[in-house]
Amino acid sequence: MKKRILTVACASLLLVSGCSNATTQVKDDDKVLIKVGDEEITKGDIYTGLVAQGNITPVQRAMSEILVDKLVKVDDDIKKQADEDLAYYKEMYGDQWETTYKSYGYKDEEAFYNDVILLNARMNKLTSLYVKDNLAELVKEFKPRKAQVFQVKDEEKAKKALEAAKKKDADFAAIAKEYGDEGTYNGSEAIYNTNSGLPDVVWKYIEEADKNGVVDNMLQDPSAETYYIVKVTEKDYKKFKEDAIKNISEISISASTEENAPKPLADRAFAYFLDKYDYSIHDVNIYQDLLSSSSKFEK
Amino acid sequence: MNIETIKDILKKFWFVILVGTILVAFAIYFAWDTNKDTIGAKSADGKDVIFSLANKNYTADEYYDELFSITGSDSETPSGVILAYTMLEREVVSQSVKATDEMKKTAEENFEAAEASFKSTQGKNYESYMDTELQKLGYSGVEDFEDYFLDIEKAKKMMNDYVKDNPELFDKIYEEKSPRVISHILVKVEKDKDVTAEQQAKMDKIDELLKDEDFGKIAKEYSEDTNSAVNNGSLGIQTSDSSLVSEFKDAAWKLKDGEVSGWVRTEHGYHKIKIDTTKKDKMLKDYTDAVVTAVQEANPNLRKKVVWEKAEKLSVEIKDKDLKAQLLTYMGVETEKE
Repeated sequence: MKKRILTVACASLLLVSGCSNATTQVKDDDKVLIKVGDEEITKGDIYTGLVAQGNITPVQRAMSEILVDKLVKVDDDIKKQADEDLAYYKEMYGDQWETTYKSYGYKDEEAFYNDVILLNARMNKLTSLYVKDNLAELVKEFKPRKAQVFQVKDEEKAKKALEAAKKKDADFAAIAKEYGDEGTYNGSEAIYNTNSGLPDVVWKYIEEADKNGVVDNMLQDPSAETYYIVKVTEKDYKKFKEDAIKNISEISISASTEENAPKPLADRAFAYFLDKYDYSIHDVNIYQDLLSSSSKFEK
Repeated sequence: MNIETIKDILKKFWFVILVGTILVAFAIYFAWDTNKDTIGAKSADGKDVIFSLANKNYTADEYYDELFSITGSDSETPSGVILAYTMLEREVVSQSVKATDEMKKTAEENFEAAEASFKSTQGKNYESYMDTELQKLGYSGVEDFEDYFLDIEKAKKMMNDYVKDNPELFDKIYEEKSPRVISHILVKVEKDKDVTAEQQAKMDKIDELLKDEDFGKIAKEYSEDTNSAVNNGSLGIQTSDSSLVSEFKDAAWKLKDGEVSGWVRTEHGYHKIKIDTTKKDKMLKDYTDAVVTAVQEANPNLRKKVVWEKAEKLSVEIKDKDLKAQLLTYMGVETEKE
């Protein structure tokens, strides 16, 4: 009895012994390609060597293609964007264009266009779809607001501008044109968010404004010796939803290795759709290479 | 077995049962914890699946086809063909060149130095790292690490013997390109900047030492060109069309055998240049490796042709017709007529 129980206990430990991480091989891995003397070089040997070289671009591209084929059809806008990108690259690289795409392993321009340029244009649309699906959450992070902003260096002039802007039925854009100094902010309406790069004092007002309207007092940026006149035109993103989606989709966040750093939206979109469409990975070496390139491949 | 019997068993063996239950529970938890992040295998239609997404599978066979066809560093040859050649060369070298004791000794020393270096840079994961690096070159993995260094020595011997047996290869270079064996000592000075007092003092010290001491010894200790300093300042055999900067070349080709120049200014700083030899016999006798390097630089496909000659002697068979055509093109060997 004792022996039986202990045997069962020990056998349970065997649960761990058969479970190791999987790797892949080609179907006909033992197909001999080259024979030298008694030694054989098989298709499996070539596969192992190629995988070890760590080029995961085909895997990444295959994932991207599956997602865009499901979610983003090639329409005129996307084609137009891709064609513009192609023209841009050709102008940028000039005589070196052919050498450039060949250096990426492509035999001809058409293959590079389809695999890289057009795919990239479709992937950009994927980010918009992600933002649309997750708008309520992203709005909490990026806080899009519609506002008009202009800047004035002279204090007296700024006071007069504010007074004029506060009048009933004031035309803010016209006031900006009359009183505003040349600069980044010219009074035209725009959507601002946490990443817009506004002076801190301006963004703080826009973010915290509890109602639409002109600022009560001029906002001073001491570092730039400038005054800002601000009007929040719409603080509720639901009233400009499509524009909010576009605005957030275009936010640029650089990839960072710092812990807790915000991730680029394209990466978030990718990870979101991988999860949504039941992504699974079955080769530990390729998985490690994917993770080394980006955490968006984490399963 | 009735309930009374079971109760009796439980009473009699309660301690063993308790220990067994704890062990089993632990084993189950351990198994679950160990395997929860395990990457499991998957296959579809008999093919290994790398990933699945939206009910579509991407297989190892698809990945192989793509990786194989990506062009390599020459932007012409598929990566798979380059790797196949690398593996072919390894087998040919391994089978056609006999290892001497000296080669084994050199290989062992280089292996030990490399292993120590990897341990130092990669820590406890050094074997896994070396595994991948060797697989990239067509070896099975870390177990081939020693063989890798022996193969390097064998390949060197293969080429040295070939150049020795075909002296016309170096004769041509000697006649056309006026080669010389050059060493130098470099004191780095920023481009377009004047020499500092410290740099001048160093150059003066080197001049003083060169009156009594060997040029190579001084180069090893003082030269700031770290690549050549380890070889006693030697730049090997240089020819008239080498990529040396023009001021250096002009000075070097004005010197006679054994002569040492004054300080020569280039964009890198100041150079003391020595001509070790301009004589062909001395190059062939004392600078064999440099002669072979010069011959290979002048004939980029030579090594591959030598490998193919040896492969044919070993009755090589390339069983895939397309691969054979691509390999022969890559090696610069004329394709056989059908």
